[in-house]
Amino acid sequence: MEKYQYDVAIVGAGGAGLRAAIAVAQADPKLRIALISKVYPMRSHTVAAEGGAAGVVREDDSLQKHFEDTVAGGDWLCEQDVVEYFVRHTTPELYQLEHWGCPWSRKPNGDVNVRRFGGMKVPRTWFAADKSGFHMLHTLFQTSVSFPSIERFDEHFVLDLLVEDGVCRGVVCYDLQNGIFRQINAKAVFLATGGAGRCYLFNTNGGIVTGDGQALAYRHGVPLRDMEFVQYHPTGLLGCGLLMTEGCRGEGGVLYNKDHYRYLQDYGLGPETPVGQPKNKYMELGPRDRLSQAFWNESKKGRTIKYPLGEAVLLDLTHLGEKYLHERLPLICELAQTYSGVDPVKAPVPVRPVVHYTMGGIETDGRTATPMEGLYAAGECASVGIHGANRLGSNSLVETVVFGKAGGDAMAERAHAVKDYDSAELARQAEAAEKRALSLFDIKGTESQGKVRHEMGESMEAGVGIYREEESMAATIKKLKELKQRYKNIGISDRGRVFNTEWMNLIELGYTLDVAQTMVYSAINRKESRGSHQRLDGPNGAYKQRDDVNFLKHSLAFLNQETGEPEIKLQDVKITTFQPAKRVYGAEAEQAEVARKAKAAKEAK
Amino acid sequence: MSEVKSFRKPYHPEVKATWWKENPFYIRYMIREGTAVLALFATLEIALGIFLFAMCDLDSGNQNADSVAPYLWWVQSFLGNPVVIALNVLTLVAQLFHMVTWFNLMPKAVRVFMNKNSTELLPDYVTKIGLYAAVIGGFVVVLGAALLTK
Amino acid sequence: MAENDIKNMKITVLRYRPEQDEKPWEQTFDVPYHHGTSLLEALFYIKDNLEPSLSFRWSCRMAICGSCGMMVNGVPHLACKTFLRDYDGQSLKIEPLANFPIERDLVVDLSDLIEKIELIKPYIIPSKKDANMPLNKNFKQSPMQMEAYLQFAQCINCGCCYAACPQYKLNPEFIGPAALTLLYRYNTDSRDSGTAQRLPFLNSENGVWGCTFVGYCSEVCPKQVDPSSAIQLGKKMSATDYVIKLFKPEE
Repeated sequence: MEKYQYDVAIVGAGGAGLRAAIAVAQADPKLRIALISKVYPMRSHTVAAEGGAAGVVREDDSLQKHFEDTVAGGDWLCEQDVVEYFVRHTTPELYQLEHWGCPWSRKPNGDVNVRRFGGMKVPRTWFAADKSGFHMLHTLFQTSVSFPSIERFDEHFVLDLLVEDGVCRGVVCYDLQNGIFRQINAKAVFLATGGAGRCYLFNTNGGIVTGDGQALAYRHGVPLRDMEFVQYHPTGLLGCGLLMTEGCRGEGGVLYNKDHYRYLQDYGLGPETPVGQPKNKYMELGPRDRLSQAFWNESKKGRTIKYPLGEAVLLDLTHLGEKYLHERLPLICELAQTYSGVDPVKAPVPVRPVVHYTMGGIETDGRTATPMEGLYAAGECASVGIHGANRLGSNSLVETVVFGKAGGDAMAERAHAVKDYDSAELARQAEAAEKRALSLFDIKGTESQGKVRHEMGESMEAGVGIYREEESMAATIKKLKELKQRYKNIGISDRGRVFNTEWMNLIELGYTLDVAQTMVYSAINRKESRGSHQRLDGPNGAYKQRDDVNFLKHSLAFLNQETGEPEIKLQDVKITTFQPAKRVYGAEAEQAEVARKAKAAKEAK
Repeated sequence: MSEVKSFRKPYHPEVKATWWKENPFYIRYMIREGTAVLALFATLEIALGIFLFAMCDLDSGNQNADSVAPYLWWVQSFLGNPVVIALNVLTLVAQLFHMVTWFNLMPKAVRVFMNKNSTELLPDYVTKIGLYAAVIGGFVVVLGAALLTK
Repeated sequence: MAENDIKNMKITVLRYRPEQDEKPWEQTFDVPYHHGTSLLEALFYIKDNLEPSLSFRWSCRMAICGSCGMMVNGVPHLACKTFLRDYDGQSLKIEPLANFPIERDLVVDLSDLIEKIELIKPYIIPSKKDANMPLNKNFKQSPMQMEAYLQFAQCINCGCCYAACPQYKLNPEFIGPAALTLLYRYNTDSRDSGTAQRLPFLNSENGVWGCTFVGYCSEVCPKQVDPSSAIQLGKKMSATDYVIKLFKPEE
């Protein structure tokens, strides 16, 4: 096996991975950087992000407001010290991208413009039309080209971490093009592999979003935190699930049910705001979890519209006019037209909630270090602690660069502090990983890979969807156990080594199944409703409420090496200045704000 | 990158001489490029005319048919030849084809050039009307000059 | 066709397995489809049900990641943005992107394209004055200045334009549509001062002057980037540079 020695090995070349690589290269041009990705960097799923990235720039905005929006949006399950760090670093990182050439949309005076987004008090979302992720990713990739110390391993699929005496020492990967294996030793390993939306059938995610990094860390005993929190985006295209950005509503789009009624006013998000005059934190600009839950309730009431492809509500943008739509939301127009046959300029688009984002991930501290020495993680695959129980739109794109940078800096420091390491043990582990991967060819089973994948997705939707109950979650737990058994019986018909996607997809499916298990085990253990985790059961419906006494805590999913199943532990949440309160939007939020100010004024006296 | 055995064996499809026949767009392109041959013919034809005209003896006092014989040959025998007439008609058609395809590309190019990416600001027909008006205008001027000097 | 009708289509796919095959061969599948079935979904159907060993690249399903470029009846397309309904009553022939070496089935070796993108210095090269701009302010760039390059910044690197370009077919050294467009994009960005460093690529024989304005790249581009326009504008830039150098050879 080919063996390499690097200072830093970065797995995943999306927003977080590329930003980390650049940070290491800038910290010290002499550091050797391996940037490993199973696809070419510009294919990474950051590319599909549409709406934008949050960063405080307006006079009427403040870091405190961004902090409060984020923590309240996360239903107080955020690490508040990390959120403080995060909001301080967003704007400089976004300016950094601007300096590198990112075409952020502008105001007539030549400065960067911002738009409204759900759950945010003030417009603070930087956007590049509705292709913000695309432009960020291409800017980062193209900028990375100017750093010769970044050596890319494109289309290399990571099979395992190399861990000796509890310290992460490198990775072993499969080179799709050459069909061979490579052992890459490094002083620091960075996981930036993205989320695991592919656990579900109906999702906005690309085919590559299979939870690889999360599974790799989990299998080595690193806990996955808050995995029960899976975000449903309220507006996915019917049928394919492609994303209609929250920017649609930020620009003034509204949601109707089958009676042409703006139903969100019935769910604590009202009173109704006039069409074309969006108001922050009201109605369509409520947070994603609330909007998705409102859809579910409308469906129960029979007020959604039934299409051959399923139920939907209507996202109406027609009042915004052709010129404005084509300027602000060109991709949305293209996607709705291509994949739904609806021109948003002329007619409302049928949409429904769709799995979008995994709030949880590999547990890290506020600077991306995981509990395992030498192993770091950032981006969607990590739980650095800023999203809590529900992520606010436009916080994740900027998370990739803020914590990509933080991770890069931390790793550069480690690279200076420790020496190159190699051992027979690492080589043995690499060989073992190769053997394990190759042994999949020996399975003579008749099970179908596609079927197992499909049944997993269906079962996850049934068990850990928008609303959850003990019984259906238990059924999903059982189903996943069964699928893991059946997985061992999946044969591979493709005997080739070059670009054997059947083989690679099978390994990915193994990762996804592990991550899916952590989601449902964490969910069944959380006997309350918080953010995106909403339950309908419990004695007298007790789990329908938030329970700060018992569950103002993170879930940690550890792999039990003996049973092969997750074990869930709870972990305290870091609260600095913002005490948990009822999470309110719309008029209720304004009243709460007034009351809070009055109370503060009283106390000041 | 690797000294270890690679399983790669990329296949390089050969480029056939007939590659352009496989796609209507390429065929149109080759025809458009082919109009250059006829343009060359027209250029040589005129060059020949000018050369023969220069050979005429216009300085001597007694001018007759003989002194302009070379030019007359060009006008009567060469241009009058049915084959040459056919070639000239073909050249005209080819140049008109070239003109149409070229003008079809122009509105987009002009728009990018003027930094106006929206068809609203500069509709296609504005550029096209301008171009065709220029061609017709030029044609009228040449025809008028020819009729006036007769 | 009506929304719910299910029909069948013959799809012929060019196969090539480097470890087994001397040269590519064709395999035909019978694939059911309805109004909304994309070619990518048809390929999923084949891989899941008929031929698991068929290899192709894909990810986002929404025409933004650039993975699934391939030849559809001889024309470069993104599989995710191609719908079977548009070929109703016909059969389909799917081949890997033309003008690239075939690695395996529908997967081509794109490294030449990637190397050319890297070659032309695709990043902002700021002026000395701007090099250390603090991270609390942006470059002033008016919407008009942005408009000058924005269209050319929409390229998803799918490779369709290279598959469409006869010049690239005949001369693989040609820098080609996507990379030249990216070069022009950075040269016209008001934040950039690196034009002089990129001109040698633009001016070279394999730069803009290698293009004979076939225009097919713009025709097939799934994102309407219009690379041929960028190249023609690049020719203007190159010619201007030539004239200036005639008079001011030292600069």
